[in-house]
Amino acid sequence: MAQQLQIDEGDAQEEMYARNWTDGLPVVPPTPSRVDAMLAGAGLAATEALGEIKERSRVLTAEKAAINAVMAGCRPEYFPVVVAALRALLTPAFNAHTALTSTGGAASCLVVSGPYAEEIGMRSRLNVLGPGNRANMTIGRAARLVAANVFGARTGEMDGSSIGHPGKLSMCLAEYDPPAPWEPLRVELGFDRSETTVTILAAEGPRQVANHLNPDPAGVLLTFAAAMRNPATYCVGKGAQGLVILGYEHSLILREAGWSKQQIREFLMEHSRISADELEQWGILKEKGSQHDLGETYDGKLPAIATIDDLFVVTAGGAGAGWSAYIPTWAPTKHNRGVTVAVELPNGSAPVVDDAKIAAVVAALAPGLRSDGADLTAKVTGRRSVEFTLVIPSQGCADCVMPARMLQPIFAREVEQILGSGWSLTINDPRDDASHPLNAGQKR
Amino acid sequence: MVVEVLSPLYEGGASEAVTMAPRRTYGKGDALHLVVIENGKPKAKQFLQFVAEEVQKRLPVATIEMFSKPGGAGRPIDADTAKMFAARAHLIISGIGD
Repeated sequence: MAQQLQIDEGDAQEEMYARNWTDGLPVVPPTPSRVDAMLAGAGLAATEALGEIKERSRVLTAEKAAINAVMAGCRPEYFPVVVAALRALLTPAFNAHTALTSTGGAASCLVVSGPYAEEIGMRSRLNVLGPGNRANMTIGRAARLVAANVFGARTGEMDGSSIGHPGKLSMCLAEYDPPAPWEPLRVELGFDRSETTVTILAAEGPRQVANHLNPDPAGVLLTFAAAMRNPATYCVGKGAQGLVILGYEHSLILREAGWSKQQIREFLMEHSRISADELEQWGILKEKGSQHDLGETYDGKLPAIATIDDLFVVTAGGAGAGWSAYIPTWAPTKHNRGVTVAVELPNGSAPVVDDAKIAAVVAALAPGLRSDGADLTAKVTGRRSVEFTLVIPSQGCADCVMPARMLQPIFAREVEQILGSGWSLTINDPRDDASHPLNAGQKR
Repeated sequence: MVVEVLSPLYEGGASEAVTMAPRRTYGKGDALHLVVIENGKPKAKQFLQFVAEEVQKRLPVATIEMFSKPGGAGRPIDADTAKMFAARAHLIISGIGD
């Protein structure tokens, strides 16, 4: 069990800062009861090992992860996402030992794809990479605090970032599921649509991509390609990974023109290549005889992205004048690759949709019933299932209110609009219960 | 008012015990074998070769073996390679960073 310390509540922030526990911002004191609640949020025992960095001979336990998640400001329902992020961080392909240490100053960028992101209130639209959403900010911060406090990734110890960037405090976004036929990231990576996944990338800072006037899809993508082949980016010409975040207008232009996500990737792969001469024109010398010497290539140009599978494309962000973002990874793929892990929710855990949203569904549906003298109640009965009950006080009402089978698609539409996708619903109709007083003497 | 908190810091539980390799013995007048492990960074090989040659001027180093890490700077050499060098080298020079 973790060491317990007694500190004066009034001096708690100063004490925790002095102990080098923080990222420079205030943290929530990790009391035993808060840590227990965090562990319960993911249904984990304190001693469960989440992974290790072999090169540092250090294992991460669920308890240490929970302590740092409390300090970051997470709510317990965020913890399954934090745990998935940490399992991804500690997968050998991510090479955390180096990613957390390098002078390149990578952040651990987390992309959360799936219905649980919406369920816990993560932001996928306006200001998706900015501040203001507790889930986005604290989940990313928790992963970073674990890296610092458990694995020593902090200045003066094992973090050798020369410059670093603000994303090292927290860099976490939710994907906004694109309309068909585009698939969300988790489905493209082979997961089920109903799952929620966390993809971790060792990332440089985001480049905002602006193209406000060009309605041509190729024109929009050429702007991305320009950001991707910027000679000042370390991995340009060496072959790394990258995350394209298509904002509202740009994704709309591409979808309406019939582009698939695979076509977008192919276009960007091709147009982000750059010649050694052009790199040199901007002062960058090609590596020769070193670990990044790519030798001859088929077109005499060098890649920004290693392979087409190394380019991730997601939709997120709010409507605006035509903004998107590109996030390059910090190192060529021989050193590090993004990793995706499914979020595991504890068995039988309660849904985290709040009462206000359920009330909003009822408020949207009930007026039509009330006009017929009936009413409606609703309660959540499972992780993503909601049960409605028609309240029909008299036989007179019973003849006016539509039967449940006809109400089903109307209810489903409101549920999807207010609660999000993936919900199942049932409608209890007293007219279907032969023993109900309403049906006394009735033949149905 | 006093509040009880739990430490977020690492407190032990090494994934595997780490032990030092046995050192190769040598006697007075023996010729030494020097292994250089370079990490693939630009000019790392040239720099470490220079260091090895300077060592050779001061110690009875008969042979210098230059080894380039296959995984580049981002990954350590594997355990079998480390054991092999520990068995045949008297001296090893490596380096980290850029």
